[in-house]
Amino acid sequence: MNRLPCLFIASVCLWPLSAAAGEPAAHVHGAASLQVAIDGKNLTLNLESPLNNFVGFEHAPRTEKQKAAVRAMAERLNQPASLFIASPAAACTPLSVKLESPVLEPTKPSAGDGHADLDGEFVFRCEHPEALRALEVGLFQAFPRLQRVDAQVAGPRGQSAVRLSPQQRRIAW
Amino acid sequence: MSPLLLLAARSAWNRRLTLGMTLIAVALSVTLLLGVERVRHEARNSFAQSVAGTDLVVGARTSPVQLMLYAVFRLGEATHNIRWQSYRAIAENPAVAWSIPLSLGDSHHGFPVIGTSSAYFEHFRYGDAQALAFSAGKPFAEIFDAVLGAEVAARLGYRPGNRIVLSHGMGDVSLAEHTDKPFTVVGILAPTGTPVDRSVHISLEAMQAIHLDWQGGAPLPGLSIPAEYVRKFDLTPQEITAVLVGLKSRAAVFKVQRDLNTRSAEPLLAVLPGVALDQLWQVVGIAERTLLAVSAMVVAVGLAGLVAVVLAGLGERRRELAILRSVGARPSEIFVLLTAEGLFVTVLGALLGAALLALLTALLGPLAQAHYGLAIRARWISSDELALLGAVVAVGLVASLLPGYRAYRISLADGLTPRL
Repeated sequence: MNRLPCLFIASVCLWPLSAAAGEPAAHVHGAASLQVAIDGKNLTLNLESPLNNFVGFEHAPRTEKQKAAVRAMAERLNQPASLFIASPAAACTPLSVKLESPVLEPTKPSAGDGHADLDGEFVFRCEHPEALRALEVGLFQAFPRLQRVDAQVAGPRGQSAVRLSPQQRRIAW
Repeated sequence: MSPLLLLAARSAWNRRLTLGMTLIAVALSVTLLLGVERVRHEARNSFAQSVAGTDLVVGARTSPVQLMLYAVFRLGEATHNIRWQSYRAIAENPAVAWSIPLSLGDSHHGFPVIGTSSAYFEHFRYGDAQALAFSAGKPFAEIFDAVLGAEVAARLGYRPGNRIVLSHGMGDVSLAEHTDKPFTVVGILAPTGTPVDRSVHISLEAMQAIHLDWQGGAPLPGLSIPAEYVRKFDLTPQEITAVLVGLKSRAAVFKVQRDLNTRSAEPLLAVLPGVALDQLWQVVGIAERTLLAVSAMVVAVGLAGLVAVVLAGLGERRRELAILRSVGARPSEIFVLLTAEGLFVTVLGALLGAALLALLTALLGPLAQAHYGLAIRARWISSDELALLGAVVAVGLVASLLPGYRAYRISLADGLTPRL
Protein backbone atom coordinates (compact mmCIF):
# COMPACT_ATOMS: atom_id res chain seq x y z
CA MET A 1 0.00 0.00 0.00
CA ASN A 2 2.93 2.32 0.53
CA ARG A 3 4.55 1.47 -2.76
CA LEU A 4 3.25 4.56 -4.53
CA PRO A 5 4.84 7.25 -2.38
CA CYS A 6 8.14 5.34 -2.40
CA LEU A 7 8.20 5.15 -6.17
CA PHE A 8 7.27 8.77 -6.34
CA ILE A 9 10.06 9.75 -4.01
CA ALA A 10 12.57 7.62 -5.81
CA SER A 11 11.72 9.21 -9.11
CA VAL A 12 11.88 12.66 -7.63
CA CYS A 13 15.16 12.12 -5.85
CA LEU A 14 16.80 10.81 -8.97
CA TRP A 15 15.86 13.97 -10.78
CA PRO A 16 18.81 16.37 -10.95
CA LEU A 17 17.28 19.30 -9.14
CA SER A 18 19.28 22.47 -8.90
CA ALA A 19 20.32 22.34 -5.27
CA ALA A 20 18.97 25.20 -3.26
CA ALA A 21 22.24 25.25 -1.38
CA GLY A 22 24.36 28.32 -0.95
CA GLU A 23 27.41 26.50 -2.25
CA PRO A 24 29.16 27.82 -5.29
CA ALA A 25 26.28 27.45 -7.70
CA ALA A 26 26.71 25.36 -10.81
CA HIS A 27 28.25 27.44 -13.57
CA VAL A 28 25.91 27.07 -16.53
CA HIS A 29 26.17 29.56 -19.35
CA GLY A 30 22.78 31.02 -20.15
CA ALA A 31 21.45 30.40 -16.64
CA ALA A 32 21.50 32.59 -13.55
CA SER A 33 20.02 32.49 -10.08
CA LEU A 34 18.14 35.27 -8.36
CA GLN A 35 17.20 35.46 -4.69
CA VAL A 36 14.43 37.86 -3.80
CA ALA A 37 14.07 38.78 -0.14
CA ILE A 38 11.42 41.13 1.20
CA ASP A 39 12.12 42.42 4.69
CA GLY A 40 10.08 45.35 5.96
CA LYS A 41 10.56 48.11 3.41
CA ASN A 42 13.65 46.56 1.88
CA LEU A 43 13.57 44.49 -1.27
CA THR A 44 16.92 42.77 -1.69
CA LEU A 45 17.84 40.96 -4.88
CA ASN A 46 20.89 38.73 -5.11
CA LEU A 47 21.90 37.81 -8.60
CA GLU A 48 24.48 35.14 -9.32
CA SER A 49 25.41 34.48 -12.91
CA PRO A 50 28.25 33.30 -15.11
CA LEU A 51 29.96 36.35 -16.53
CA ASN A 52 29.47 35.00 -20.03
CA ASN A 53 25.76 35.83 -19.83
CA PHE A 54 26.55 39.53 -19.63
CA VAL A 55 29.61 40.13 -21.77
CA GLY A 56 30.20 36.94 -23.75
CA PHE A 57 33.59 36.10 -22.27
CA GLU A 58 34.97 35.20 -18.84
CA HIS A 59 38.56 36.40 -18.88
CA ALA A 60 40.06 39.79 -18.14
CA PRO A 61 39.09 42.13 -20.99
CA ARG A 62 41.94 42.34 -23.53
CA THR A 63 40.72 44.29 -26.50
CA GLU A 64 39.09 47.71 -26.48
CA LYS A 65 35.85 46.05 -27.54
CA GLN A 66 35.89 43.75 -24.53
CA LYS A 67 36.71 46.61 -22.19
CA ALA A 68 33.78 48.53 -23.64
CA ALA A 69 31.53 45.48 -23.10
CA VAL A 70 32.51 45.33 -19.43
CA ARG A 71 31.87 49.07 -19.03
CA ALA A 72 28.49 48.76 -20.74
CA MET A 73 27.55 45.85 -18.49
CA ALA A 74 28.50 47.71 -15.32
CA GLU A 75 26.60 50.76 -16.49
CA ARG A 76 23.51 48.72 -17.24
CA LEU A 77 23.59 46.83 -13.96
CA ASN A 78 24.05 50.07 -12.05
CA GLN A 79 20.61 51.15 -13.21
CA PRO A 80 18.57 48.48 -11.44
CA ALA A 81 15.27 50.35 -11.82
CA SER A 82 15.15 49.33 -15.48
CA LEU A 83 16.24 45.73 -14.81
CA PHE A 84 13.89 44.90 -11.95
CA ILE A 85 10.45 46.44 -12.12
CA ALA A 86 8.49 45.94 -8.92
CA SER A 87 4.72 46.42 -8.54
CA PRO A 88 4.25 50.16 -9.21
CA ALA A 89 1.93 50.54 -6.22
CA ALA A 90 4.76 49.54 -3.88
CA ALA A 91 6.74 52.65 -4.92
CA CYS A 92 10.18 51.04 -4.85
CA THR A 93 13.29 53.06 -5.50
CA PRO A 94 16.85 51.73 -5.88
CA LEU A 95 18.92 52.15 -2.76
CA SER A 96 22.22 50.48 -3.57
CA VAL A 97 23.97 48.23 -6.06
CA LYS A 98 26.94 46.03 -5.27
CA LEU A 99 28.64 44.24 -8.13
CA GLU A 100 31.35 41.65 -7.71
CA SER A 101 33.29 40.10 -10.55
CA PRO A 102 36.94 39.51 -11.45
CA VAL A 103 36.61 41.69 -14.54
CA LEU A 104 35.55 44.63 -12.42
CA GLU A 105 38.69 44.34 -10.32
CA PRO A 106 41.50 44.08 -12.86
CA THR A 107 44.22 43.67 -10.22
CA LYS A 108 42.72 40.41 -8.96
CA PRO A 109 43.86 37.29 -10.83
CA SER A 110 40.99 35.41 -12.40
CA ALA A 111 39.88 32.00 -11.16
CA GLY A 112 41.99 29.05 -12.17
CA ASP A 113 39.40 27.08 -14.13
CA GLY A 114 38.85 29.84 -16.66
CA HIS A 115 35.29 30.49 -15.53
CA ALA A 116 34.16 33.63 -13.81
CA ASP A 117 30.93 34.79 -12.25
CA LEU A 118 29.19 38.04 -11.67
CA ASP A 119 27.45 38.50 -8.36
CA GLY A 120 25.20 41.45 -7.83
CA GLU A 121 23.25 42.72 -4.85
CA PHE A 122 20.48 45.19 -5.61
CA VAL A 123 18.61 46.80 -2.74
CA PHE A 124 15.38 48.71 -3.23
CA ARG A 125 13.38 50.65 -0.71
CA CYS A 126 9.64 50.31 -1.04
CA GLU A 127 7.28 52.85 0.50
CA HIS A 128 4.36 50.43 0.42
CA PRO A 129 5.85 46.96 0.83
CA GLU A 130 2.38 45.47 1.39
CA ALA A 131 1.58 46.33 -2.25
CA LEU A 132 4.71 44.55 -3.45
CA ARG A 133 3.24 41.49 -5.12
CA ALA A 134 5.25 40.97 -8.29
CA LEU A 135 8.57 41.65 -9.94
CA GLU A 136 9.26 41.94 -13.62
CA VAL A 137 12.81 40.90 -14.47
CA GLY A 138 14.20 42.89 -17.41
CA LEU A 139 17.56 41.13 -17.54
CA PHE A 140 16.58 39.14 -20.62
CA GLN A 141 16.18 42.18 -22.86
CA ALA A 142 19.32 43.80 -21.52
CA PHE A 143 21.45 40.66 -21.84
CA PRO A 144 20.20 38.41 -24.65
CA ARG A 145 22.68 35.64 -23.78
CA LEU A 146 20.70 35.04 -20.61
CA GLN A 147 18.11 32.32 -21.21
CA ARG A 148 17.03 31.18 -17.77
CA VAL A 149 16.84 32.65 -14.29
CA ASP A 150 15.99 30.44 -11.33
CA ALA A 151 14.34 32.79 -8.90
CA GLN A 152 13.64 32.13 -5.23
CA VAL A 153 11.43 34.40 -3.19
CA ALA A 154 11.23 34.74 0.58
CA GLY A 155 8.98 37.31 2.14
CA PRO A 156 6.19 37.83 4.62
CA ARG A 157 3.83 35.85 2.40
CA GLY A 158 6.01 32.76 2.37
CA GLN A 159 8.50 31.21 0.02
CA SER A 160 8.32 30.28 -3.61
CA ALA A 161 10.47 29.40 -6.57
CA VAL A 162 9.93 30.06 -10.22
CA ARG A 163 11.96 29.54 -13.35
CA LEU A 164 12.09 32.64 -15.52
CA SER A 165 12.77 32.76 -19.24
CA PRO A 166 12.61 35.46 -21.94
CA GLN A 167 8.94 34.50 -22.34
CA GLN A 168 8.16 34.31 -18.63
CA ARG A 169 9.78 37.32 -16.99
CA ARG A 170 7.40 37.94 -14.13
CA ILE A 171 7.57 36.65 -10.57
CA ALA A 172 4.38 36.99 -8.59
CA TRP A 173 3.82 36.00 -4.98
CA MET B 1 -40.47 25.58 -22.79
CA SER B 2 -41.34 26.04 -26.41
CA PRO B 3 -43.35 23.23 -27.98
CA LEU B 4 -40.37 22.43 -30.18
CA LEU B 5 -38.06 21.83 -27.23
CA LEU B 6 -40.78 19.82 -25.52
CA LEU B 7 -40.95 17.64 -28.60
CA ALA B 8 -37.17 17.36 -28.60
CA ALA B 9 -37.17 16.28 -24.97
CA ARG B 10 -39.87 13.69 -25.65
CA SER B 11 -37.91 12.42 -28.62
CA ALA B 12 -34.72 12.19 -26.58
CA TRP B 13 -36.60 10.34 -23.83
CA ASN B 14 -37.70 7.89 -26.49
CA ARG B 15 -34.02 7.18 -27.20
CA ARG B 16 -33.06 7.24 -23.52
CA LEU B 17 -31.02 4.06 -23.56
CA THR B 18 -28.46 5.10 -26.19
CA LEU B 19 -28.39 8.70 -25.04
CA GLY B 20 -28.14 7.50 -21.43
CA MET B 21 -25.10 5.38 -22.19
CA THR B 22 -23.48 8.34 -23.95
CA LEU B 23 -24.36 10.51 -21.00
CA ILE B 24 -22.59 8.07 -18.66
CA ALA B 25 -19.50 8.10 -20.90
CA VAL B 26 -19.41 11.91 -20.90
CA ALA B 27 -20.03 12.07 -17.15
CA LEU B 28 -17.25 9.58 -16.36
CA SER B 29 -14.79 11.36 -18.62
CA VAL B 30 -15.63 14.67 -16.94
CA THR B 31 -15.14 13.06 -13.51
CA LEU B 32 -11.72 11.87 -14.60
CA LEU B 33 -10.74 15.28 -15.93
CA LEU B 34 -11.94 17.13 -12.84
CA GLY B 35 -10.49 14.44 -10.57
CA VAL B 36 -7.01 14.85 -12.01
CA GLU B 37 -7.25 18.59 -11.59
CA ARG B 38 -8.65 18.23 -8.07
CA VAL B 39 -5.96 15.83 -6.86
CA ARG B 40 -3.26 18.00 -8.41
CA HIS B 41 -4.60 21.09 -6.72
CA GLU B 42 -5.25 19.45 -3.36
CA ALA B 43 -1.85 17.77 -3.29
CA ARG B 44 -0.18 21.13 -3.80
CA ASN B 45 -2.40 22.72 -1.25
CA SER B 46 -1.87 20.00 1.30
CA PHE B 47 1.90 20.12 0.87
CA ALA B 48 2.00 23.90 0.98
CA GLN B 49 -0.10 23.91 4.17
CA SER B 50 2.45 21.73 5.91
CA VAL B 51 5.47 23.93 5.23
CA ALA B 52 3.82 27.33 5.47
CA GLY B 53 5.22 28.21 8.88
CA THR B 54 8.77 26.88 8.52
CA ASP B 55 11.56 29.05 7.12
CA LEU B 56 14.28 26.43 6.81
CA VAL B 57 14.57 22.67 7.05
CA VAL B 58 18.04 21.51 8.01
CA GLY B 59 19.35 17.98 7.71
CA ALA B 60 22.24 15.91 6.45
CA ARG B 61 23.48 16.70 2.99
CA THR B 62 21.17 15.10 0.44
CA SER B 63 18.77 16.27 -2.23
CA PRO B 64 16.74 19.30 -1.06
CA VAL B 65 13.51 17.65 -2.09
CA GLN B 66 14.36 14.41 -0.31
CA LEU B 67 15.25 16.28 2.87
CA MET B 68 11.99 18.16 2.79
CA LEU B 69 9.97 15.05 2.03
CA TYR B 70 11.29 13.02 4.93
CA ALA B 71 11.54 15.84 7.44
CA VAL B 72 8.18 17.48 6.78
CA PHE B 73 6.08 14.82 5.07
CA ARG B 74 7.55 11.64 6.62
CA LEU B 75 7.89 10.27 3.11
CA GLY B 76 11.00 8.24 2.46
CA GLU B 77 13.95 7.80 4.74
CA ALA B 78 16.85 9.92 5.83
CA THR B 79 20.24 8.91 4.46
CA HIS B 80 22.17 10.35 7.40
CA ASN B 81 21.56 12.01 10.71
CA ILE B 82 23.06 15.21 12.02
CA ARG B 83 24.99 15.56 15.27
CA TRP B 84 23.41 17.04 18.37
CA GLN B 85 26.16 19.70 18.48
CA SER B 86 25.11 20.86 15.03
CA TYR B 87 21.56 21.23 16.29
CA ARG B 88 22.75 23.25 19.29
CA ALA B 89 24.73 25.53 16.97
CA ILE B 90 21.64 26.13 14.82
CA ALA B 91 19.45 26.75 17.86
CA GLU B 92 21.94 29.32 19.19
CA ASN B 93 22.30 31.17 15.88
CA PRO B 94 21.23 34.77 16.63
CA ALA B 95 19.03 34.91 13.50
CA VAL B 96 17.03 31.86 14.60
CA ALA B 97 13.79 32.54 16.47
CA TRP B 98 12.90 28.92 17.17
CA SER B 99 14.09 25.48 16.17
CA ILE B 100 12.39 22.13 16.40
CA PRO B 101 14.60 19.04 16.47
CA LEU B 102 13.16 15.93 14.82
CA SER B 103 14.29 12.37 15.28
CA LEU B 104 12.64 9.84 13.00
CA GLY B 105 12.87 6.12 12.40
CA ASP B 106 10.47 4.29 14.72
CA SER B 107 6.80 3.67 14.11
CA HIS B 108 3.57 2.62 15.72
CA HIS B 109 1.20 0.52 13.59
CA GLY B 110 2.69 2.09 10.49
CA PHE B 111 2.42 5.63 11.80
CA PRO B 112 5.77 7.42 12.12
CA VAL B 113 7.09 8.16 15.61
CA ILE B 114 8.77 11.54 16.00
CA GLY B 115 11.16 12.36 18.75
CA THR B 116 11.05 16.09 19.33
CA SER B 117 11.07 18.75 22.01
CA SER B 118 8.25 20.77 23.56
CA ALA B 119 9.15 23.53 21.05
CA TYR B 120 7.15 21.46 18.57
CA PHE B 121 3.85 22.23 20.27
CA GLU B 122 4.84 25.81 20.89
CA HIS B 123 6.28 26.90 17.55
CA PHE B 124 5.15 24.56 14.83
CA ARG B 125 2.87 26.40 12.42
CA TYR B 126 0.81 25.07 9.56
CA GLY B 127 -1.57 26.54 7.01
CA ASP B 128 -2.17 30.21 7.59
CA ALA B 129 0.17 30.49 10.60
CA GLN B 130 -2.04 28.26 12.76
CA ALA B 131 -0.53 26.77 15.90
CA LEU B 132 -1.10 23.17 16.96
CA ALA B 133 -4.07 22.72 19.26
CA PHE B 134 -4.92 19.85 21.58
CA SER B 135 -8.30 18.18 21.22
CA ALA B 136 -7.60 16.28 24.43
CA GLY B 137 -4.84 16.16 27.02
CA LYS B 138 -1.59 18.12 27.04
CA PRO B 139 2.01 18.05 25.74
CA PHE B 140 4.36 15.35 27.01
CA ALA B 141 5.92 16.03 30.40
CA GLU B 142 7.06 12.64 31.75
CA ILE B 143 9.63 10.65 29.86
CA PHE B 144 7.32 7.92 28.53
CA ASP B 145 4.52 10.26 27.49
CA ALA B 146 3.26 10.32 23.91
CA VAL B 147 1.14 12.84 22.01
CA LEU B 148 -0.84 11.49 19.06
CA GLY B 149 -1.90 13.14 15.85
CA ALA B 150 -5.65 13.25 15.22
CA GLU B 151 -5.57 10.56 12.54
CA VAL B 152 -3.55 8.13 14.69
CA ALA B 153 -5.94 8.49 17.59
CA ALA B 154 -9.04 8.20 15.42
CA ARG B 155 -7.88 5.15 13.48
CA LEU B 156 -6.50 3.21 16.43
CA GLY B 157 -9.18 4.41 18.84
CA TYR B 158 -6.80 5.80 21.45
CA ARG B 159 -7.71 8.13 24.26
CA PRO B 160 -5.50 9.83 26.85
CA GLY B 161 -4.42 7.27 29.40
CA ASN B 162 -4.02 4.39 26.90
CA ARG B 163 -0.71 2.52 26.88
CA ILE B 164 1.02 2.02 23.55
CA VAL B 165 4.12 0.10 22.46
CA LEU B 166 6.35 1.54 19.75
CA SER B 167 7.98 -0.54 17.03
CA HIS B 168 11.55 -0.26 15.94
CA GLY B 169 11.78 0.80 12.30
CA MET B 170 8.99 1.34 9.82
CA GLY B 171 6.31 -0.97 8.52
CA ASP B 172 3.06 -2.42 9.74
CA VAL B 173 4.56 -5.71 10.81
CA SER B 174 7.61 -5.02 12.85
CA LEU B 175 10.28 -7.46 13.88
CA ALA B 176 11.32 -5.64 17.01
CA GLU B 177 9.11 -3.88 19.48
CA HIS B 178 9.92 -1.70 22.43
CA THR B 179 7.67 -3.83 24.66
CA ASP B 180 9.70 -3.21 27.81
CA LYS B 181 9.08 0.53 27.67
CA PRO B 182 5.43 1.27 26.90
CA PHE B 183 4.25 4.85 26.47
CA THR B 184 1.21 6.55 27.93
CA VAL B 185 -0.95 8.67 25.68
CA VAL B 186 -1.17 12.07 27.36
CA GLY B 187 -2.45 14.24 24.54
CA ILE B 188 -4.22 14.15 21.21
CA LEU B 189 -3.81 16.95 18.71
CA ALA B 190 -6.67 18.54 16.82
CA PRO B 191 -6.81 17.67 13.10
CA THR B 192 -4.55 19.81 10.91
CA GLY B 193 -4.78 18.21 7.45
CA THR B 194 -0.97 17.88 7.50
CA PRO B 195 1.39 14.94 8.23
CA VAL B 196 1.19 15.93 11.91
CA ASP B 197 -2.14 14.07 12.00
CA ARG B 198 -0.34 10.82 11.18
CA SER B 199 2.46 11.19 13.69
CA VAL B 200 3.13 9.88 17.18
CA HIS B 201 5.17 12.44 19.13
CA ILE B 202 7.51 11.54 21.94
CA SER B 203 10.34 13.46 23.56
CA LEU B 204 13.91 13.17 22.28
CA GLU B 205 14.91 11.82 25.68
CA ALA B 206 12.33 9.05 25.37
CA MET B 207 13.64 8.25 21.90
CA GLN B 208 17.09 7.92 23.45
CA ALA B 209 15.77 5.92 26.42
CA ILE B 210 14.00 3.23 24.41
CA HIS B 211 17.22 2.61 22.49
CA LEU B 212 19.53 2.56 25.55
CA ASP B 213 19.81 -1.21 25.65
CA TRP B 214 19.82 -1.56 21.88
CA GLN B 215 22.70 -1.85 19.51
CA GLY B 216 22.80 -2.33 15.77
CA GLY B 217 19.03 -2.17 15.48
CA ALA B 218 18.27 -4.97 17.96
CA PRO B 219 18.04 -5.35 21.73
CA LEU B 220 21.37 -6.29 23.29
CA PRO B 221 21.07 -9.89 24.49
CA GLY B 222 21.28 -10.23 28.23
CA LEU B 223 20.99 -6.49 28.81
CA SER B 224 17.72 -4.94 29.75
CA ILE B 225 17.42 -1.57 31.39
CA PRO B 226 14.09 -1.31 33.17
CA ALA B 227 11.99 1.71 32.37
CA GLU B 228 12.27 3.11 35.89
CA TYR B 229 16.06 3.33 35.71
CA VAL B 230 16.48 5.16 32.41
CA ARG B 231 16.51 8.52 34.18
CA LYS B 232 19.91 7.58 35.61
CA PHE B 233 21.44 7.68 32.13
CA ASP B 234 22.43 10.70 30.10
CA LEU B 235 19.50 10.96 27.73
CA THR B 236 20.89 13.77 25.60
CA PRO B 237 20.60 12.50 22.05
CA GLN B 238 23.77 11.92 20.08
CA GLU B 239 22.17 12.71 16.78
CA ILE B 240 18.87 13.77 15.28
CA THR B 241 17.38 13.53 11.81
CA ALA B 242 16.43 17.06 10.93
CA VAL B 243 15.65 20.49 12.32
CA LEU B 244 12.79 22.81 11.47
CA VAL B 245 13.88 26.40 11.81
CA GLY B 246 11.90 29.60 12.17
CA LEU B 247 13.75 32.90 11.73
CA LYS B 248 13.30 36.26 13.38
CA SER B 249 13.22 37.90 9.97
CA ARG B 250 11.74 35.69 7.29
CA ALA B 251 13.76 37.50 4.63
CA ALA B 252 17.09 36.67 6.29
CA VAL B 253 16.53 33.11 5.14
CA PHE B 254 18.99 33.23 2.23
CA LYS B 255 21.79 34.48 4.44
CA VAL B 256 21.16 31.90 7.18
CA GLN B 257 20.85 29.19 4.54
CA ARG B 258 24.23 30.18 3.09
CA ASP B 259 25.79 30.23 6.55
CA LEU B 260 24.46 26.78 7.44
CA ASN B 261 25.43 25.27 4.11
CA THR B 262 28.96 26.60 4.07
CA ARG B 263 30.12 27.32 7.61
CA SER B 264 28.84 24.39 9.66
CA ALA B 265 31.20 21.96 11.31
CA GLU B 266 29.59 18.99 9.58
CA PRO B 267 28.15 19.01 6.08
CA LEU B 268 24.58 20.22 6.47
CA LEU B 269 21.89 21.06 4.00
CA ALA B 270 19.47 23.87 4.72
CA VAL B 271 16.56 24.19 2.31
CA LEU B 272 13.74 26.66 1.98
CA PRO B 273 10.78 24.28 2.11
CA GLY B 274 8.57 26.54 -0.01
CA VAL B 275 11.26 26.76 -2.66
CA ALA B 276 12.02 23.03 -2.61
CA LEU B 277 8.29 22.37 -2.95
CA ASP B 278 8.02 24.63 -6.00
CA GLN B 279 11.05 22.90 -7.50
CA LEU B 280 9.33 19.59 -6.87
CA TRP B 281 6.21 20.84 -8.65
CA GLN B 282 8.33 22.05 -11.56
CA VAL B 283 9.44 18.44 -11.98
CA VAL B 284 6.10 16.81 -11.24
CA GLY B 285 4.40 19.39 -13.47
CA ILE B 286 5.40 17.43 -16.56
CA ALA B 287 3.65 14.32 -15.29
CA GLU B 288 0.67 16.40 -14.19
CA ARG B 289 0.28 17.99 -17.59
CA THR B 290 0.52 14.56 -19.22
CA LEU B 291 -2.22 13.24 -16.94
CA LEU B 292 -4.38 16.26 -17.66
CA ALA B 293 -3.80 15.82 -21.38
CA VAL B 294 -4.76 12.15 -21.20
CA SER B 295 -7.96 12.92 -19.31
CA ALA B 296 -8.75 15.70 -21.79
CA MET B 297 -8.39 13.10 -24.54
CA VAL B 298 -10.81 10.85 -22.67
CA VAL B 299 -13.33 13.70 -22.63
CA ALA B 300 -12.77 14.16 -26.38
CA VAL B 301 -13.47 10.45 -26.89
CA GLY B 302 -16.65 10.77 -24.82
CA LEU B 303 -17.84 13.73 -26.87
CA ALA B 304 -16.94 11.97 -30.13
CA GLY B 305 -19.11 9.09 -28.95
CA LEU B 306 -21.91 11.54 -28.28
CA VAL B 307 -21.66 13.00 -31.78
CA ALA B 308 -21.56 9.51 -33.28
CA VAL B 309 -24.71 8.48 -31.39
CA VAL B 310 -26.65 11.57 -32.40
CA LEU B 311 -25.45 11.25 -36.00
CA ALA B 312 -26.34 7.58 -36.13
CA GLY B 313 -29.74 8.43 -34.73
CA LEU B 314 -30.35 10.83 -37.60
CA GLY B 315 -30.83 7.97 -40.04
CA GLU B 316 -33.58 6.49 -37.89
CA ARG B 317 -35.13 9.89 -37.33
CA ARG B 318 -35.59 10.94 -40.94
CA ARG B 319 -39.30 10.37 -40.63
CA GLU B 320 -39.50 12.22 -37.34
CA LEU B 321 -37.70 15.20 -38.78
CA ALA B 322 -39.77 15.13 -41.96
CA ILE B 323 -42.95 15.19 -39.86
CA LEU B 324 -41.64 18.10 -37.88
CA ARG B 325 -40.91 19.90 -41.14
CA SER B 326 -44.39 19.09 -42.47
CA VAL B 327 -46.05 20.62 -39.42
CA GLY B 328 -44.13 23.84 -39.93
CA ALA B 329 -40.67 23.51 -38.35
CA ARG B 330 -38.10 25.51 -40.27
CA PRO B 331 -34.77 23.88 -41.19
CA SER B 332 -33.07 26.31 -38.79
CA GLU B 333 -35.29 24.96 -36.02
CA ILE B 334 -34.28 21.42 -36.91
CA PHE B 335 -30.66 22.61 -36.67
CA VAL B 336 -31.24 24.11 -33.22
CA LEU B 337 -33.10 20.99 -32.14
CA LEU B 338 -30.25 18.61 -32.90
CA THR B 339 -27.55 20.94 -31.60
CA ALA B 340 -29.51 21.45 -28.40
CA GLU B 341 -29.75 17.70 -27.92
CA GLY B 342 -25.95 17.30 -28.05
CA LEU B 343 -25.41 20.33 -25.88
CA PHE B 344 -27.98 19.14 -23.36
CA VAL B 345 -26.27 15.77 -23.02
CA THR B 346 -22.88 17.50 -22.62
CA VAL B 347 -24.13 19.89 -19.94
CA LEU B 348 -25.92 17.12 -18.09
CA GLY B 349 -22.77 14.97 -18.39
CA ALA B 350 -20.63 17.78 -16.99
CA LEU B 351 -23.00 18.28 -14.06
CA LEU B 352 -23.23 14.55 -13.37
CA GLY B 353 -19.44 14.29 -13.61
CA ALA B 354 -19.00 17.06 -11.06
CA ALA B 355 -21.55 15.43 -8.76
CA LEU B 356 -19.80 12.08 -9.10
CA LEU B 357 -16.50 13.72 -8.23
CA ALA B 358 -18.03 15.24 -5.12
CA LEU B 359 -19.34 11.81 -4.13
CA LEU B 360 -15.97 10.17 -4.78
CA THR B 361 -14.00 12.76 -2.79
CA ALA B 362 -16.40 12.37 0.10
CA LEU B 363 -16.00 8.58 -0.01
CA LEU B 364 -12.32 8.24 -0.91
CA GLY B 365 -10.95 11.40 0.72
CA PRO B 366 -10.47 9.78 4.14
CA LEU B 367 -8.73 6.84 2.46
CA ALA B 368 -6.25 9.10 0.67
CA GLN B 369 -5.66 10.91 3.94
CA ALA B 370 -5.05 7.68 5.81
CA HIS B 371 -2.77 6.06 3.25
CA TYR B 372 -0.90 8.94 1.70
CA GLY B 373 -1.44 11.79 4.14
CA LEU B 374 -3.06 13.65 1.29
CA ALA B 375 -5.93 15.81 2.51
CA ILE B 376 -8.56 15.96 -0.23
CA ARG B 377 -11.45 17.94 1.13
CA ALA B 378 -14.92 17.77 -0.30
CA ARG B 379 -15.58 21.31 -1.47
CA TRP B 380 -17.28 23.38 -4.10
CA ILE B 381 -15.92 23.53 -7.61
CA SER B 382 -12.93 25.83 -7.89
CA SER B 383 -12.56 28.45 -10.59
CA ASP B 384 -9.99 26.30 -12.41
CA GLU B 385 -12.39 23.37 -12.42
CA LEU B 386 -15.18 25.65 -13.58
CA ALA B 387 -12.96 26.73 -16.48
CA LEU B 388 -12.41 23.07 -17.37
CA LEU B 389 -16.16 22.41 -17.21
CA GLY B 390 -16.75 25.44 -19.40
CA ALA B 391 -14.22 24.12 -21.91
CA VAL B 392 -15.97 20.73 -21.95
CA VAL B 393 -19.35 22.36 -22.60
CA ALA B 394 -17.86 24.63 -25.30
CA VAL B 395 -16.28 21.66 -27.07
CA GLY B 396 -19.56 19.75 -26.67
CA LEU B 397 -21.43 22.65 -28.29
CA VAL B 398 -19.02 22.82 -31.22
CA ALA B 399 -19.18 19.05 -31.65
CA SER B 400 -23.01 19.13 -31.55
CA LEU B 401 -23.06 21.59 -34.43
CA LEU B 402 -22.09 18.71 -36.69
CA PRO B 403 -25.26 16.60 -36.23
CA GLY B 404 -27.24 19.86 -36.26
CA TYR B 405 -25.81 20.86 -39.58
CA ARG B 406 -26.30 17.39 -40.98
CA ALA B 407 -29.96 17.35 -39.90
CA TYR B 408 -30.38 20.81 -41.41
CA ARG B 409 -29.07 19.56 -44.77
CA ILE B 410 -31.14 16.38 -44.65
CA SER B 411 -34.31 18.22 -43.75
CA LEU B 412 -33.77 20.64 -46.62
CA ALA B 413 -33.28 17.81 -49.08
CA ASP B 414 -36.10 15.74 -47.58
CA GLY B 415 -38.43 18.70 -47.91
CA LEU B 416 -37.66 18.94 -51.59
CA THR B 417 -37.73 15.30 -52.60
CA PRO B 418 -41.19 13.74 -52.79
CA ARG B 419 -39.72 10.25 -52.34
CA LEU B 420 -40.23 10.00 -48.60
